[in-house]
Amino acid sequence: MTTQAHDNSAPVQIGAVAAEVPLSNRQRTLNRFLRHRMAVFGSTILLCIVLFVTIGGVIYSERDANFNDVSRRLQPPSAEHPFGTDTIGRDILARTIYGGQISLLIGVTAVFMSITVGTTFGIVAGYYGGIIDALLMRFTEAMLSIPTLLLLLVMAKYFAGRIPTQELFGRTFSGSVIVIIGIIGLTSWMGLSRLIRANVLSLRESEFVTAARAIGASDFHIILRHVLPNTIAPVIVATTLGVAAAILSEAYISFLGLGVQPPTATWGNMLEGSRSHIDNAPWLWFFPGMLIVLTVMSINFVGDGVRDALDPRSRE
Amino acid sequence: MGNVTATPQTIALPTDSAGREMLVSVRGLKKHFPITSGIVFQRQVGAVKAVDGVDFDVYKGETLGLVGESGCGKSTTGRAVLQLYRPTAGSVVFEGNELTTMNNAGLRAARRRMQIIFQDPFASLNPRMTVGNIVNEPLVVHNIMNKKQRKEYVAQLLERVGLNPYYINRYPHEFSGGQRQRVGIARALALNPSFIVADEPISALDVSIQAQVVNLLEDLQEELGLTYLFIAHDLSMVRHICDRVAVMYLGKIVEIGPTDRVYDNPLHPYTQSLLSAVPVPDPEVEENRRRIILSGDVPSPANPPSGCNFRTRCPVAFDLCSDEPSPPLIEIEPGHFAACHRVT
Repeated sequence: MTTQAHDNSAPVQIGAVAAEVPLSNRQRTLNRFLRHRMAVFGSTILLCIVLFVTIGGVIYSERDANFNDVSRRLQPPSAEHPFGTDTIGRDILARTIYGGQISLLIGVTAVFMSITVGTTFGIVAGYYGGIIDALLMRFTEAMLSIPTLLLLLVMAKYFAGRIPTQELFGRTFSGSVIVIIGIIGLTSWMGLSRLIRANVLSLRESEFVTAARAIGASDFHIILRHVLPNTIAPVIVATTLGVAAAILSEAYISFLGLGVQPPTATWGNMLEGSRSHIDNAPWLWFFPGMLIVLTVMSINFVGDGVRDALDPRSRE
Repeated sequence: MGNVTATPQTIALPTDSAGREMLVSVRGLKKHFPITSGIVFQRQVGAVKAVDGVDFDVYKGETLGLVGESGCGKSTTGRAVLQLYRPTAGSVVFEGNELTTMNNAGLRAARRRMQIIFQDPFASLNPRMTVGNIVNEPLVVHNIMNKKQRKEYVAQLLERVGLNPYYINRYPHEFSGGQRQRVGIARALALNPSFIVADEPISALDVSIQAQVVNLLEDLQEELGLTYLFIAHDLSMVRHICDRVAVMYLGKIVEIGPTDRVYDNPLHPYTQSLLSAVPVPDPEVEENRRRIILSGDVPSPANPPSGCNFRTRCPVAFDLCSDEPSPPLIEIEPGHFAACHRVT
């Protein structure tokens, strides 16, 4: 116990020199994201795809996408039809634009639903424990034990035609789009909720949560400020994988003919239409397939970058 | 610093027979953790009696040390006093109010007056919050001051505990263990409490840093009139910082009294053996130091021995120790209590 150690009046200098102005936390987070090359690359691609489906929608009308001319069926890419034409002579470029809008809409909204349900279930079950936990987790396990594809098909069949067509943003969405969003959203949250529950179980016992309780914080405050931010990594991973999975789910439900009903295009049901022309008309599947791959890939890169950027412990 | 929260200091505290003001009064405190079995239909098959009937008072302005080996229930006692674990039985009176029967809203208000400093400065700070936000959080929770005042106050607090407020936007992982512990202390001080449970606040720190943190705690006590319940297993440090000390063994207090009396004249055989393990910084004395080495392990708190808890390892146990129920704390000399059939 030296006298030097006893001197608490002078603030202890932490870093080297206190000269430069420290960066704000937002700036530091952004820097971490920008340093992630693949994430920047992914966001660029994703931006291009979004621009493609929005600006494209201004150039081509939905009527172009659904206009068919059987005499011009299965034409390879040309100046008039840059992406070629499909089995009943519709322009594939216009259809990828409008199909993209639907596919991205399905991906984003379905994942939003799935994340909301999964996070809520996981946090409530993990934080409160006991009987609430038991009930929620048994329900989750019941949902998990049903084969997803079967569930998708039964629900698609059951809800088909029960949801009327909706008008939104000046576009008409067939009821099947809404059904598909709901079905995908409500059948994909279980894994995430179990992951989050496990995370919350350990966070609940951590000392910083005890510290928050000791200062008199409410459960809601603790969940919002301490539990949720520390379980953000699995949520982001689930989001990025989920958007990709939702687009693919839509593709295979459509492939089985129970998805979004024609003439409304999606990338998924465009693939379905190309099934019998894989060899002789590759442009039928190449463009929508390529867009699905690019979207899924770039979303994954972006998710990776966001996860690292939000973690203050990762290297800047 | 104390002027910012402006809590009126007009609470009349109960006094003991000697006229000392009792800030905290603990009676018959028990905390049992259930042991359950079964997956779907859980039933209780036993209980870990972490704290099993503890009585003590903490007087205003003093530091009461709580010592004992690992797993004897020191930390659980500290947390049960603060109601971070709801006690199984017993009463805790703090500033004249009974805490164990208080509802959540009342307890939340009471928490402004009692705080805790944790052992592990790595686990007790949320890694995703800046130190500024960590220290600010108590103010937000209790909705004290506006944003600008809070910012100023947090900077003051950081400076007071010896941290440069310039690094207010840094995250905990960017600090060393001692600095993080200072952040934890600043958080505990933010609400201007009167009572702080220091749960082994220096055990996780380097020896050189331990002295700094202990001195900081002492300075703060003097300046802000704080009362500490200081939980530790470093007996030399306890002797240095504490006015009184309580020795725990297997969920019970076996001896309690003024620090000097307990150290110079330990009454309970467990205290004697504990103190005999403290090295003496004098080679000649150290050479001749007689150590009382206890045989065996600490019994499981789920299944403590009958009679006196300590009899299975006690060097001076006799038939009364197993036949009679657990011996009560008896005042042997003024303010110095021990719970042992051999000491009367």
